[in-house]
Amino acid sequence: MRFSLVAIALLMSMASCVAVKPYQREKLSSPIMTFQPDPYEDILDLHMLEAREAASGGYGSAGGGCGCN
Amino acid sequence: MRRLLALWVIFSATSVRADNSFVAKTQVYTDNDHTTVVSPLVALSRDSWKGGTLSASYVADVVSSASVDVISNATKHMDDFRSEITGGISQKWRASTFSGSYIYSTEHDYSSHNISLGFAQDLFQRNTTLALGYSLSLNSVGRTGDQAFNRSLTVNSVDVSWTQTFTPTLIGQLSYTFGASNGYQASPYRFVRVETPDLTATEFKVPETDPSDRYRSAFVVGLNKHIFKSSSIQGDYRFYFDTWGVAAHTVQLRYFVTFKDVTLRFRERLYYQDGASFFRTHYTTAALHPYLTADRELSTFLSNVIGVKVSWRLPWVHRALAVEAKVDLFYFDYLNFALLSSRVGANTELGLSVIY
Repeated sequence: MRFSLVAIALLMSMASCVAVKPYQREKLSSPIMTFQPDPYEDILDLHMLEAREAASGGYGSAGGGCGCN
Repeated sequence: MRRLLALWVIFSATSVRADNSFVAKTQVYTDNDHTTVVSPLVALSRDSWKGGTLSASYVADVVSSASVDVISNATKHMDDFRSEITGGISQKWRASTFSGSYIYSTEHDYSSHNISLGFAQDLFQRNTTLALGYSLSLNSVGRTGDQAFNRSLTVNSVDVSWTQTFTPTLIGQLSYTFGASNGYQASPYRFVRVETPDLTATEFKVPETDPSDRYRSAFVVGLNKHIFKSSSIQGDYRFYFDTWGVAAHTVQLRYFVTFKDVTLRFRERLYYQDGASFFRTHYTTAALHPYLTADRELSTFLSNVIGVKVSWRLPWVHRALAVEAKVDLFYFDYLNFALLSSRVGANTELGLSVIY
């Protein structure tokens, strides 16, 4: 627990040092730079995969039963 | 576990789109295990007041199957229909986004109510985004032809993610999901063969029994790098484990490239899982088994998905109209599942979206 808190504090302090200015974000703002450019596709895709694999979650998604059994 | 994804949809609607949107897609899944699933989806999102977004969506699954699962239950064919409606609301306030959603899913022998809450905070001149989500899912499981059969399943999930810009062309993400499933998690239709010790005959069949509690953890680390003029390459790795003894590794690579109004995406996804600790290729009368399953999703297997998607904006028709098509081919290699050694198939999709 103490290690986790130290690690989080360290990561946050490193994050605060990153300074990408607004005028430098042209490429970052492109749709191809988002981790989930099409969340509706992810809903369909994850539903298919999670009905066929034991693993789930981790991609900003979580939840439960949906008739997948 | 995809309920908190609904929150991502709502976050996206708030943070990316400044207008109203309409999305329609249809996905068709088919494999050589004689299963076809057609899944239409429609979704609406509306910026209803300053910083506030309302959204709604509907998804259906039309299932037709004669898979080994179905045949092993002494049934030749199975048809099913599932409907799911989602309503969501979000509010953006300065660098914070609050969201909530409700999902109702129903089929003839299953119903599910789900409530999700989310919070996202931009930090350090918007170079960092922290997001937190919680989801509660209440499920009721029935069995066709058996009015007395009624089981419940409750799922609580917590999700936390950290998204960080590193340079003007590099962004990363760390996320973690914890899920607790408590209740009935077997299939009410699946029976497990218990064989003689020499495996020459089936002694009897018993209903599938899984542990009633399951605690899941999933960690994901991802990087997204803009390269060349209008391309990006994304990679992510997921490590998953749960208290049933399943451990899984997922690696995915995606390459996006844009030519004027056309965006292409190439994708490969590799997955491997160690099966549940109580999964056996054969259950015999020589040993006692507290839990018995014939669920191939709990066996040891690997899979590979490879695919391409094309999105085409049509500005001469409407300023923000786009159509898309996707083909994913997949292969599953079951390493210790007696009834099926492999499965191949395709997942195709057609869709359109418009922002107005």
